[in-house]
Amino acid sequence: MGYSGSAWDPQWYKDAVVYELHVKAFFDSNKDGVGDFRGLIEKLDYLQDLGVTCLWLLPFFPSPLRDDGYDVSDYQNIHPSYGTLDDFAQFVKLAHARRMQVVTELVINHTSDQHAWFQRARTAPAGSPFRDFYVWSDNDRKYPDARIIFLDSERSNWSWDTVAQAYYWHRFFHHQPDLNFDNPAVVEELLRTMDFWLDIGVDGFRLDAIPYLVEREGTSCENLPETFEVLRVIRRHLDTRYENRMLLAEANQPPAGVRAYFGDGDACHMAFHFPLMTRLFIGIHLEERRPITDIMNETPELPDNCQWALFLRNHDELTLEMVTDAERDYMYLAYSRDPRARLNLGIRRRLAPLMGNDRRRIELLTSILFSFPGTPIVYYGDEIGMGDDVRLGDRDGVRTPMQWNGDRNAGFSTASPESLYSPVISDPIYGYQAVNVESQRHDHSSLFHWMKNMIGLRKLFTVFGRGTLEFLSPANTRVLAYLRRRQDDVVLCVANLSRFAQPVELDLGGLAGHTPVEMLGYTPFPKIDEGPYRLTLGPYGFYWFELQRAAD
Amino acid sequence: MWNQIIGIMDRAARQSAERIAHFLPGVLVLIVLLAAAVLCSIIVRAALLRVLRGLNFDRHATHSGFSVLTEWTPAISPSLLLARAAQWTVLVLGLLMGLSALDATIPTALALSVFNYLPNVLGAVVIAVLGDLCARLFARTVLIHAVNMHIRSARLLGTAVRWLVLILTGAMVLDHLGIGGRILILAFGLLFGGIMLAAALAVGLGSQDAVRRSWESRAQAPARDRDTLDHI
Amino acid sequence: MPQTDVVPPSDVVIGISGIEGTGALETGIEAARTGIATYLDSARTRLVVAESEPVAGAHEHAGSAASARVPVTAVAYDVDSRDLLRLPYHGVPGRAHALRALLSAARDSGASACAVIDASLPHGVTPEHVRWLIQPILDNQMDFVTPHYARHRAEGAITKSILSPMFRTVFGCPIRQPAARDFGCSPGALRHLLAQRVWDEVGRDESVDIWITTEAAIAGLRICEAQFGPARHAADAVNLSTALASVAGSLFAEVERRAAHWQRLRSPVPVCQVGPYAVAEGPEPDIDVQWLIESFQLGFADLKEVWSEILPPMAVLELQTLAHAPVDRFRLDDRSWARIVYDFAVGYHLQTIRRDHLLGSLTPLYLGWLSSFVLHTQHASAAAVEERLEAVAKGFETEKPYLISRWRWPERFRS
Repeated sequence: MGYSGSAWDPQWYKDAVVYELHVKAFFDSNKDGVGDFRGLIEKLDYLQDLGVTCLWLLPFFPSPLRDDGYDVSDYQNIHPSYGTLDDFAQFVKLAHARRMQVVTELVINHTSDQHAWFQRARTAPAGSPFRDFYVWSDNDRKYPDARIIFLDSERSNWSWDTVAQAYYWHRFFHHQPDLNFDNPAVVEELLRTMDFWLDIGVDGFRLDAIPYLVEREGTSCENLPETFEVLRVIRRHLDTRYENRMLLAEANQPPAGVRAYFGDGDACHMAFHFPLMTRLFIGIHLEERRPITDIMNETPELPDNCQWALFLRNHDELTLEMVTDAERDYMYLAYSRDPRARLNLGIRRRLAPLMGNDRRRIELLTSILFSFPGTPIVYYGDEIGMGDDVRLGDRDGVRTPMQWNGDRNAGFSTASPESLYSPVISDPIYGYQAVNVESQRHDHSSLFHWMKNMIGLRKLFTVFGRGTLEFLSPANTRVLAYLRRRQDDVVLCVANLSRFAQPVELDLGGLAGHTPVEMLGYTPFPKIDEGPYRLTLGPYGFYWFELQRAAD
Repeated sequence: MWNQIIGIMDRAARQSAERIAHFLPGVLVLIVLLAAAVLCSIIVRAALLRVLRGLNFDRHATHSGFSVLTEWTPAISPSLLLARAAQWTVLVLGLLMGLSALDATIPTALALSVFNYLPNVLGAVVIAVLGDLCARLFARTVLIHAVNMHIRSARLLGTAVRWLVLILTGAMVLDHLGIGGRILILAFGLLFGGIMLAAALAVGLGSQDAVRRSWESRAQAPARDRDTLDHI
Repeated sequence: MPQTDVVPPSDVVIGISGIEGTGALETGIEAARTGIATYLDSARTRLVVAESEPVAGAHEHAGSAASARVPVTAVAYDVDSRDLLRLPYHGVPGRAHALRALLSAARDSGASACAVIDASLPHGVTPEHVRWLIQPILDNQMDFVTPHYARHRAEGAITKSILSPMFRTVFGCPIRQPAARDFGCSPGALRHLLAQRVWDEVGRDESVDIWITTEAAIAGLRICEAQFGPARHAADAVNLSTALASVAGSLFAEVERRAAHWQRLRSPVPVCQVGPYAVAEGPEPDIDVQWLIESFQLGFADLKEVWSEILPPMAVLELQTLAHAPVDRFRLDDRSWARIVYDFAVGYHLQTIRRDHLLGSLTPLYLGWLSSFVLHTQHASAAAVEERLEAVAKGFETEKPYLISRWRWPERFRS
């Protein structure tokens, strides 16, 4: 019998609504200009009110912060700016008391070059176990088929270390040497790290950059069978010692490629669906459903205990790695006329600016996010339609302080503005005076209230998290229509991707006799008969219908 | 003469040294007390925060009509506000104790009197806030209960309770600040009595019907009063 | 009684709870013994009494009645000191623990049927209880039996106006006394109830009866309503507004907890009925309608502001019209009443105002309903009263979409 997590249902992640947030950006309780765990604790009531059921925290470990915390220098501690381990334990306890699960990052592919392991490795003799914590080479010509990911900043995957007098391998920044997963001691250490956080009560991990764990000559060094074996070892360890915990894979691959990360239900529980996110943006811009239906048709079935993680925007750039060149060019033209918004192979913008601050488009995309098969993830600030700042370097423009109210520093901190870790958004459209939590909570027709009601509605119906998906094919391709089914529950979702009103005729022959009831207002629509079912949708309009049988 | 000069200088030096020696321990005590106060205040704040969060105070405070706190400081949670108030009180108390240690050495009557007065101000603020909270809460509770007891002047009663608490609070605040003295007590007594009388009249007039029925039902036998109805 | 009414041999547990030292327990045990002797196989039946402390009362009693063939076992339970501070509407502290002890004892003995009877009730334990709470489980493969006592039209009005119609609509289970303290259950129901995690919650005593019925209804157990004779008249243990707050609060809490379930239920599933149909006996309690109407009018005058925070403007307007209506036209529409109760449930869920204030301000509204009900059933026959109650329940059913839509979009009538 393992230690049980806070959730009682082993598949809790299937019904979850995840909220992704950065501790440093949420709320500052000690006036140092950086958010911290005590601040986060103060805002737990807000998150509970919003209705999210799971909090995914970006890295909060000690780090030189050259890659926003993804360069970890100590796996079993908290960055001093964010608080202490006690604060974290208290946060986990209070989140659980509010029936929210906590998911943290497990950055396993690489460490910071400041990590004690790396410092030890570079002075250890070549071939010794300590040295072998990382991947070393005498020359920089090994693994030539592995692509460079951060094209804008790195020229090679190898960097010369003057102390070790050897090249070390890194798939990301040169200050992030990759760990050597061929060394059993490395796996051992990582399992110990997992136990450390699981014992505190963490309910799951997002496994960062896992396609790149193992390197082999003659391959792209991505998605290797040896990598999947490491994941199985991690999962076996998790299942033997703990209950109701979850592993979420970050593998930016086509859906068929990601499928391997689920194994036979014996590797990761969840994985992000990256291509869907891109296709949603293409679909709404083209006002055409095919990019969306095509990618979903290419999406393979998952083992019963597995689930897709869906998102619109996250802390990274809107990645365009997994789309065709034509699609990428289209996305650049459509969504980043301003070249400053481009980064690597992607667009570093938040949801609201991408949607031109059009409330209807934001709602439409969110409604698709909440009704597609998978667990939705909401990026902090997107529930109020926060903006970004493309003038800030790297991806910092989408990691600005949460906008709580119209006071100084957006109510995020009482420190002096210049001591904030990042300036708050202050432009006239998305600035904190215009977009903030306090004003939206008072305004009952705000995006915040809409989001809260939609999250509440989604939580009432497990069909969204667990049901099957079946696309309808109406002649009007500007309309996306699909059925979600689970046992007796049938939900019909119809979305107009166009900026103009659209008529649609749906073939619902098999559901004749059912009455569609619009879910949010609980309004019954005319009964379905054998003929085509006619609907008219307003600009960017969408409906969720609960199909009720007449016999009921 | 040289000897005299030497003697005077010696005396002066000795006197200064004595004064300094007399004064220094006070400063040392002040510093120690201040340090202790800082430490205590941090502990008090942390402990209070933990307790309040453990009790889920913020949630209760927002949901129990205690909206004043959040109205005043929307950016700061009520528990943090209380914790901060406690922290500052401890700090100021520490400072006062330190100054009283200095008291023997330097006469800074004005500064001392100001500092002596500070806790009164702090206490008064706390009393005022709590009083306002209680007044709102009690007024509505009394109103609902009075209506449910079929008292006709329930609203008057609710208002009376509210003002009673507010006036009591006001009197306590002024008393705490040392303003008004005996006049205040007298005035408060008069007001208090007046409101009590009004409330008594309100209850009496409002519930005369209830009282009459109660007597009637006692006189009648067997009792088949509505109060004996099984509602569940 | 004819011999055929005796159930076939099986292991049956009759659990009796009640307040010790009042003599009710002893009387209850005797009545249960008579019932067992008449309707069940005494050799395979066991009586279990829940005691708040291991006193010798029940044992002594068992000894003194040695002639009886049914032995009495006592099970002990703790009364939480925190529960003593919260007097439930039935006035029995520690009831949740007592029930849990009785149900656990029944489960452990491997009983094929179990009945729990509250000896502190005014009607007490009768041999008929033993019969009708057990027989449906043994004979008709029912999982859960809940009683219905015949009462005068104005008796049990909280149950009639709020509890029963809302329970029936929301949980799809048309039973008339969801807060009844006696019930029978099958081994499956026992296991299901005991497996739930909520037994140790503070304040559970207040709502344990409604919780048990709700759990049975939403778990899809086969439920049966047993008709009992007339209930003996008795006053509530606590005053009206406390009782109403306790009952409505318990119901609203269940509604909140089970939101994901009931919003997908459509129409109620009929439950099977057993037992002889009975009408209330004895003189009908005297109702002072004028006093009830005045209470409502007083409530409207003084609590209008409080109600405005919970009810949409239209409802407040309707109440205003009602408050000024003459007695002969004093009529609270069934659908309006249903919407008012639903709005209070939504307000409870959203914590629009303090929950004790919300529940406290419901009393005058309830008295308004009661006066309207009494006025319109003044000279009605028992059957007509039943019809009236059915119309009330229909009002709740018609307005269920209103509850769902307000639950899902609470701001819709407020801004």
